Amino acid sequence: MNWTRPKIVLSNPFFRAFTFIETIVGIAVVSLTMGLLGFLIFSGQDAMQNADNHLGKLGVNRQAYDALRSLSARIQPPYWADPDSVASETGGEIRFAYLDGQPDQKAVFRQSDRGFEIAINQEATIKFPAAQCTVSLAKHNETVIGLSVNFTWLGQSYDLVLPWGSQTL
Amino acid sequence: MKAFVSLLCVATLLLFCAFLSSFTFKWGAYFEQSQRRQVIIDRDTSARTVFAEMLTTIQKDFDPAKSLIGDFIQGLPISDQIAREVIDHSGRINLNWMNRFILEKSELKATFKDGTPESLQEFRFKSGPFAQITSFKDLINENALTDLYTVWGPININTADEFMIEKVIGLRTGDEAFGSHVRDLVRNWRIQQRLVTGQDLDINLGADAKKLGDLVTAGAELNVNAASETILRALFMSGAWPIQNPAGRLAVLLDRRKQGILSKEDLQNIVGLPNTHLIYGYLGTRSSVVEIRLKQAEAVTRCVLMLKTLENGKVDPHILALGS
Repeated sequence: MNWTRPKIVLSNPFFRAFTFIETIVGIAVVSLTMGLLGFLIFSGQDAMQNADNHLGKLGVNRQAYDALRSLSARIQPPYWADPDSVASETGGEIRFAYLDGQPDQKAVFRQSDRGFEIAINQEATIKFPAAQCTVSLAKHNETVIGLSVNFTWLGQSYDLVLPWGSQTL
Repeated sequence: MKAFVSLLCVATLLLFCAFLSSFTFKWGAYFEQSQRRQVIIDRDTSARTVFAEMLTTIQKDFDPAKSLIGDFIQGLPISDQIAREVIDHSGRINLNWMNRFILEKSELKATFKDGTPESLQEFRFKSGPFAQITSFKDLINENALTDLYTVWGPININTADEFMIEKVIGLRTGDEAFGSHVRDLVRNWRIQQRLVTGQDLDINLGADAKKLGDLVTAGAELNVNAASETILRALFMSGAWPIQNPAGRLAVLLDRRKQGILSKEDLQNIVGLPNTHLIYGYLGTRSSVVEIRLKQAEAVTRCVLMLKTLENGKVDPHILALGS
């Protein structure tokens, strides 16, 4: 019995079947397209996930920044006070006087590898375990004028000075 | 062949859609980041930015010989959304430091609730100095408190109360003996009726003067260009100084300052006392403390500036307080 190629009858008289080469190239193009499509969609999702993570960190840093700014603004030494008596730094700890302008009202800032915390009058402690910033005392002409905060934001490093709510003479 | 081309077109379209969706995800996240960043930046702008710009402009362009600091600040262009109020505290008497004798001799004693400033000295020595003018509300009538007096400004070595000088310098330096030493110096100068200058302070205090920073000044207590008529009348008519025809000279001063800013020489000509007289510890022609209040929506932001006059005649502003 002789095998013969079946004749395809189509309504379009100009249609012909794909050649072997066309089929192979077609399969390659579709595979490549599907691969790229998958890659781009997943990479888009990854980018979004990364952005979410990044925004999450920014959110933590922003809260930490706001808390530090608020703390710094509440430190209000009178203009006749000794500038060196306003804050003292030892290790990862900064102690503040003149909270809300009162010499006996105090606050403490503690920093560790696991973020930082702010204690106010030994009553309330606010913790920022995921905060990624470095805090120290800011000086101008050897005089402490506020807090210096370093943090990374959108891949860039920032050094900000958060001045006390009032300054000494 | 035609179908193959169609297949390629579909594949290209799919690729394009994939790129588009990918960029949408990435740019969407980017815009969200930008918006969040903008919110934070916006929080830092407004009133504080206006103050920062004002400081720069004051340092650069303000000439105290040509205008009052209040008029200069009122003339600065700022947003229509922000209302401003400027108070020149150099036209007021500082209740933290001013010696009580000048208050006793002048008609300002009528502003005290018990008719005499005697209680002032004990009150501020025991509990002061004070950062709020309202701390004196039990001693002084309310209207006078807000119009004639202040708690802002450096300690004037020529006019301040000796006990407060001793107390505050002791507190500031942590060295009570140094406070007593400065008080003894001040007492001697006053016995001699001497007008103390900055040079006197440098010579007599030596390296210890640095401990005081800008807290102690030998500049004049009041700016006659900015002081109210009530304050000037009280000082001119107090009888504490040998001014000939004080009422007439006061009238000349009030008339002359309407024509422009009075200089130190103008003031000396009007007062008619030599330039080494102690009265120039009280009366001067420069503003040293100004308060600016900016109102945006319902929020008021306040900034108190001390203006240090430099050798070139310009001023160097220093923020004493900034907040709500």
